[in-house]
Amino acid sequence: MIAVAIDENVAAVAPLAEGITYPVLVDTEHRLPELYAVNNVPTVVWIDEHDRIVRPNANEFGSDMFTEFTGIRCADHMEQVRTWIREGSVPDDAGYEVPDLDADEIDARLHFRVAVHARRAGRDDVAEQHFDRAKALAPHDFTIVRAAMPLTGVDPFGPAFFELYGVFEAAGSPYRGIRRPRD
Amino acid sequence: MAETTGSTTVIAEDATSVDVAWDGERPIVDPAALTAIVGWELKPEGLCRDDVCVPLADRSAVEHADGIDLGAVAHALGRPVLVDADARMVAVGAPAADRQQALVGRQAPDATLLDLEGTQRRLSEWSGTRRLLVAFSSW
Repeated sequence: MIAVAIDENVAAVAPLAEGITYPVLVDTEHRLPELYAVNNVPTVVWIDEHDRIVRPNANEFGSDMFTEFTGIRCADHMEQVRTWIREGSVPDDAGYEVPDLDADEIDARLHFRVAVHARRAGRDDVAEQHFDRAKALAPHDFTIVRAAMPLTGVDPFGPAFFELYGVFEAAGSPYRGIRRPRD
Repeated sequence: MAETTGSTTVIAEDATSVDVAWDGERPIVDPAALTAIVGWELKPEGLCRDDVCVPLADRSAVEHADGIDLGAVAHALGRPVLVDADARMVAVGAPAADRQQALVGRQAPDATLLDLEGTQRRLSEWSGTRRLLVAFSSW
């Protein structure tokens, strides 16, 4: 297992990784949202020994902390992972094809990266312009809209998050990947 | 001729500070900078990396009296590009083909990421075993 934080700030990730024995990396340049079309976390990809993606992006959780909110239980996923590791067989949903990013989502990722680097350079006006543009282009993408919250002084666990979640659900929950059916 | 020259932030795999001769909205870079940014070099046969060359449909869009048009090169390589001439910033994204490799070809793209000590690591370091790639965040 390799955990990759879609985060600009290595220091914010370190406390989350305390006591964890598998590798923890930080994707400051948002490579996974770009290369794997990741648009929310957690997203889990199963990769075999030959670097083949045997089960693509899936919204799976490492604990049941959010089960009440998401309806997703982690045990179902963990059992499937164990079967794959032991026997090599994958669940029926493994053939799911993740839709490609559209032109706006691709542009949004570039605006987001420009905003992050402008902010890092203390150019807040430039950063704000590009954060706004990124959010307008990809309003349902958590790696854009929610990731921008802590970088623009907004609490990512506060009202802005619930507002985003409402917009996301109203749009038909356009998660790019497999979503386990709710119980 | 370029109107202005100045230090520009170019974001590709990483962000670097590059001397760009701006011709209006066109970021013009020198050949060495181009190779450092995109990994490809302009040669008579086209854009080349190692022994692979991509012919250019419109060489005049790429070549400029003061150097090479970075935006035109990105287009030629199938990479999305964002130019903010006022802010002196350019971002060059990954080729669409790299993402297709994951979504359609089902081959895991490699990427360079930081570990918690700030050291650059490659996802391919963990090749050879069955593994879960888990994207999470602090937000």
